[in-house]
Amino acid sequence: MNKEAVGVEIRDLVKTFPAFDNKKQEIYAANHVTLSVKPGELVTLLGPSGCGKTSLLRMVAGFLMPSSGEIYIGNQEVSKIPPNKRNVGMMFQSYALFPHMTVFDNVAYGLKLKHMSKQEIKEQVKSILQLMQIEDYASRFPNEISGGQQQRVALARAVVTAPSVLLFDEPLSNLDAKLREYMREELRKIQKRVGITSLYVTHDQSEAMAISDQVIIMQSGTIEQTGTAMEIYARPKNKFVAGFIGKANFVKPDAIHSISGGKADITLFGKRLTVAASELCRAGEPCVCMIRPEDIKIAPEGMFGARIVSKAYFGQYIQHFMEIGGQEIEQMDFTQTNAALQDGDEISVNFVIDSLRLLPGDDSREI
Amino acid sequence: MDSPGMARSKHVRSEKRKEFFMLLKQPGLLFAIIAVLAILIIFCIYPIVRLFLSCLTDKNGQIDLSNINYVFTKTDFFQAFWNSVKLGLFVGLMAAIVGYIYAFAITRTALPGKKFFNVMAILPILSPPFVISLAVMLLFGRSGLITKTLLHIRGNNIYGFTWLAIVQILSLFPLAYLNLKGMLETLDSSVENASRTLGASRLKVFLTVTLPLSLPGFLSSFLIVFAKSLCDFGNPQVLAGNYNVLSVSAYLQIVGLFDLKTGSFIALSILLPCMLAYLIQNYWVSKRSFVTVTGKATGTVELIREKKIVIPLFIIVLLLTLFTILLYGTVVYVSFVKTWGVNWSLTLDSYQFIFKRGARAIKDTLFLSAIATPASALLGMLIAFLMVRKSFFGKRLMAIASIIPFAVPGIALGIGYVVSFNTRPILLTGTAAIIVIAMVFRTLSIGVETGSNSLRQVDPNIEEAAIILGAGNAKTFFSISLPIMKSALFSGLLNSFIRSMTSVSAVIFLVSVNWNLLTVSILSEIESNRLGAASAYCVVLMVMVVIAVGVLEAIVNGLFARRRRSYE
Repeated sequence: MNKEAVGVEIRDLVKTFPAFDNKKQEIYAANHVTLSVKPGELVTLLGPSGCGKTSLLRMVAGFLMPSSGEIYIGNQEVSKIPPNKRNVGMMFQSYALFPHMTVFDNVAYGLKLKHMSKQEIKEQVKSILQLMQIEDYASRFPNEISGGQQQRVALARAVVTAPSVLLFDEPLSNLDAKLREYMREELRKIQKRVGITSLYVTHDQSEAMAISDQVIIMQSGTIEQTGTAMEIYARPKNKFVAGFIGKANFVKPDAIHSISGGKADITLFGKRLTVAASELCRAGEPCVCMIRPEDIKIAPEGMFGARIVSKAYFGQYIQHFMEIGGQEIEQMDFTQTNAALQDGDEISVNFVIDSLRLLPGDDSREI
Repeated sequence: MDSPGMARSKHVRSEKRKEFFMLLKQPGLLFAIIAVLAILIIFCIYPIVRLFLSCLTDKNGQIDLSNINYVFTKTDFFQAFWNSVKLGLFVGLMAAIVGYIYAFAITRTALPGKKFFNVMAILPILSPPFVISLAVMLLFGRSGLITKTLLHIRGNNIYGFTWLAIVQILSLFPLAYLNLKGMLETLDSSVENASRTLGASRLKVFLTVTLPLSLPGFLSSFLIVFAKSLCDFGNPQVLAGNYNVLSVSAYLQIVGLFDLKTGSFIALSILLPCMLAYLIQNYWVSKRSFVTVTGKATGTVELIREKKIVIPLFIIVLLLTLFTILLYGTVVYVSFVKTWGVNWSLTLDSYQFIFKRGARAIKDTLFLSAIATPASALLGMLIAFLMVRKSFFGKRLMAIASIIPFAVPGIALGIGYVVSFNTRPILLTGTAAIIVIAMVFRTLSIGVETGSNSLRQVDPNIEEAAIILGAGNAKTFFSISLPIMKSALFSGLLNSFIRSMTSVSAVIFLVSVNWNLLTVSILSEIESNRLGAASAYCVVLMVMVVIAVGVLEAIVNGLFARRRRSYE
């Protein structure tokens, strides 16, 4: 557990599956994917189901054969090494504990394969069980402990052999919401303490944001954007990323006057504004303006006139759907001062101009 | 730029190449795959190919069709073929109907004594194939208890279509029953409930919903029984009389006329309708199945409680069961009677006789089955593991080869083994090995089937977890897969043991002076009209099967017991 951490690099990785309907066609699970994970970092692969994130993880593990491209763990190209010789650890969505072995034997399994002495195995297993706070359950079978405890056993089993990389395949998705939040903190703490390079697959954006050093957003086998949670949330490159991380309204500007140097000069709802622009925006091509629901502020003397269409109360915030300039827009009001507003009320709002962002695409709802 | 098609073939080729390299780095796995393929080719495919060739060629290996001409013109082949098919169709239909009634009564109605009826229905599968034939001879034959002693009918002739059909229906309907029971249990009962809530009567629900939905299951049961009836050798050999069927006529050609070629051809001709039934069953009927396994608990079946439905079904099921009990009871009783039909005093004479004369056969059967059973079950589990979990070249070949010895008529397999392994390099005839091998491969597909089914229900991540921790393929198989497949292993062991102990047709040409088998002894006792001894053999065989169930269960549980230790 105190070995020097190594990085992971994936270069131009391609994986195709034949499509079911048309044999000539094929589906890309990985379409020329290149990424790198620095030693000791936790990187999340985030995307909707079917985006290829699990396939990518399984190729790093060695369970899936890439069609082309290279995978490096440390300095070693591993795509021709069988999974049992790669020295990676993996946590599965279903935990995949050995049902016929006790917690102790589950955790000891990998150590036994390394031909350690009995005494050594016992000590290592004990210390990892202590770290995970499950030492009391050593002689129980997996079906005799709770989901959260099974989770810890799975993690203990994965890290006890000191793998060079730890792979997580949606490990928290089988837990209920409360436990999931608690476990992701725990997981992050242990990962940091052990200092192990980790690749983490999830479709839950808040989980990704909570635990990662870097987030990689994937869609249809392609990496859409890489960065810290904050970078991705604040500066999405396209509509897909903007809509996948957090919520976003996409509004077609009245006019785009110029785009240059990451800035755009636009007219929005009749007002001339300078907003940030994605580097993918090109002058003359259709673009939309992203407005996050929390960046719309209801104000008595606001710049834009609006009318409340409907509202819903969520405790922390009130969700308003409002019509601005003929477009329906979602707003989240965290101030609790506008609770008295009724459907049909005419109001005015301001936008947090710094948070607006011009993205390529049209204003159709599909992203 | 590459067209999509070209890109695909390029990718596929490069993946295949990488897969191959990966395989080279796992010599154990590679060796296992090659070894399994090799033995499957030698013992499953080669004998059948040889059988074909031996019918079509002369001594010098030239193509020679005069043999076929001889069979068609000089023997009553067509009569036998038609007889076999007619018998198969009738037995298939009746067994499917009886099986359906039985399965419907047990799965859909509030029938009393379900567990008991269920066990009784399975009994004929667990017992030697001609126990029922024997019992019918004892009860209804020339000196039968019912025909002669009770009804004073002299010389009642039970040899021929009628009684052969009855016996086959009784011994084969359990297959239809199990198949239909499984199907009715998995058929989503909420559609039946939906039909009821829409106001349909019970009869209307049955005719418009249950029956149409279970038709594929009915058809597949029919086809299974049809094929089994065609391949059956034991019952026709005892009961067919002048009603000439293919399996018996193949046997007679070889044993009576020493004409291996004609016998081979006739045995092969059984293959054609059998394979046809098998193909229809696998590729046509199974695609039309309405069974839906969703993993979601569907509403429980609302059992039918109306007396006017339950009581008639109960009477049918009860009569059938009583008849089965009567048959088995007769065999047991006869084994303790001095001379059936003449002297009814109880004695152990029959047992003394068989333990003196047949001790060898009993010992041999037990010994050979005890070797064949674990070999067959383990090989079956290994093949299941490879086929479900690994991707490699020749997977399809492996699947097909492992099912051939099970799908072909036993008599064809037996003759195939004789013609294939009576010369060097593989000279096996007359040895114990050839009997064991025949048993192993005859029962192999049971293990493959149960193993694959159970493995498919196991989360593959569990094995991957072992692999990623550093376990090789062999380690994963023995420390993870096999213990998890425990119950499949048990039923595989049990099934192959029962089949090995009770097989007749596949081994009848393979026994020799040195190695004899119980079933063959029973057959010869029946032919010599020593029915008391035959009955005693049957009882011994059934007792051994029952003991084996217990022993196997203990062994499997002991081997793979979950061990809890304290770690302080």
